[in-house]
Amino acid sequence: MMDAYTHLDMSAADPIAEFQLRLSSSRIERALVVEKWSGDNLPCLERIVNSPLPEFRIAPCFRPEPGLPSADFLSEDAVIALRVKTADLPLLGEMGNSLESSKKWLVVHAEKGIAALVRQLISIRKRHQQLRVYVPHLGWPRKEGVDDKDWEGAIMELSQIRGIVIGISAIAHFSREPFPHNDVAPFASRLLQLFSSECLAVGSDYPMFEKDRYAAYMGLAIKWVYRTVPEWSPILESDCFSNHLPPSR
Amino acid sequence: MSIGGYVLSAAPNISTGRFLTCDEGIRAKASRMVKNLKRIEKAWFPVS
Repeated sequence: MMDAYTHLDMSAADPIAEFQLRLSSSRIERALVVEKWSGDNLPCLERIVNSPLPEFRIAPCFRPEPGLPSADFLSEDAVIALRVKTADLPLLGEMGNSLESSKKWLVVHAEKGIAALVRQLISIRKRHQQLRVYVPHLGWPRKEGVDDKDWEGAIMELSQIRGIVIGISAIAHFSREPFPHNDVAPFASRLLQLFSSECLAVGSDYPMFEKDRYAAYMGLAIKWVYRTVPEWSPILESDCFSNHLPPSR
Repeated sequence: MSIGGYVLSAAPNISTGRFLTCDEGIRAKASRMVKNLKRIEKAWFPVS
């Protein structure tokens, strides 16, 4: 099983080692480590590129002004995606061609809301028909705790675009309730109706929640995906599906 | 079967008919679901 969206806990003495421990104690085998806009975890991403670790792939941020990442960095095997803000999508230029031809992924960010992002993605799809696009964080269903009224229409449009993968991640960020964040579950259910499990990834957004509940958050996202299969529903709600959290530190 | 810190148990005391955990059909369904999630994983970790 893979964590399809994580940062790293930069307050740890060794953020990579700390996260490896999280993975092993949660029985998660692999992870996509995404650069933060602050760039504070970039040195760790560079470390993963320079000394590849088989359980990690990385997604650096696209920064058009300084022209980062470099073409060489983007071509590294450990780099499988590029994180791009909605506002910067029209500036991708040659990098869009590079992503498409190398079969690497575009990881989008909806800083202006999902509707603006989808408009840009429709435009990009006309130029890059084979580009693989990963939309994390449930497609940003809420803005600052308030339901985004454009979300439903935007994700319906999104579901018409071929080759889109949706991430069930950042659950805590969008919730107005404590764990297990039942108020967010309907958004995941709607995405599953529209996209099916074949176009889904499960991620954590670590460490942007209670860090010691890493396994619980991954398990929650997995549960939301699996419970849409009718035969699985009674199992996931039953005693058979026991939550084994790693010990608190 | 273990997924993300959750353990799907098939212990004898729960295979009483109330739960279908051990049913082969359920196992096949589970296998397909995992395969779908794994498809994306394989795209990102092709050599693993």
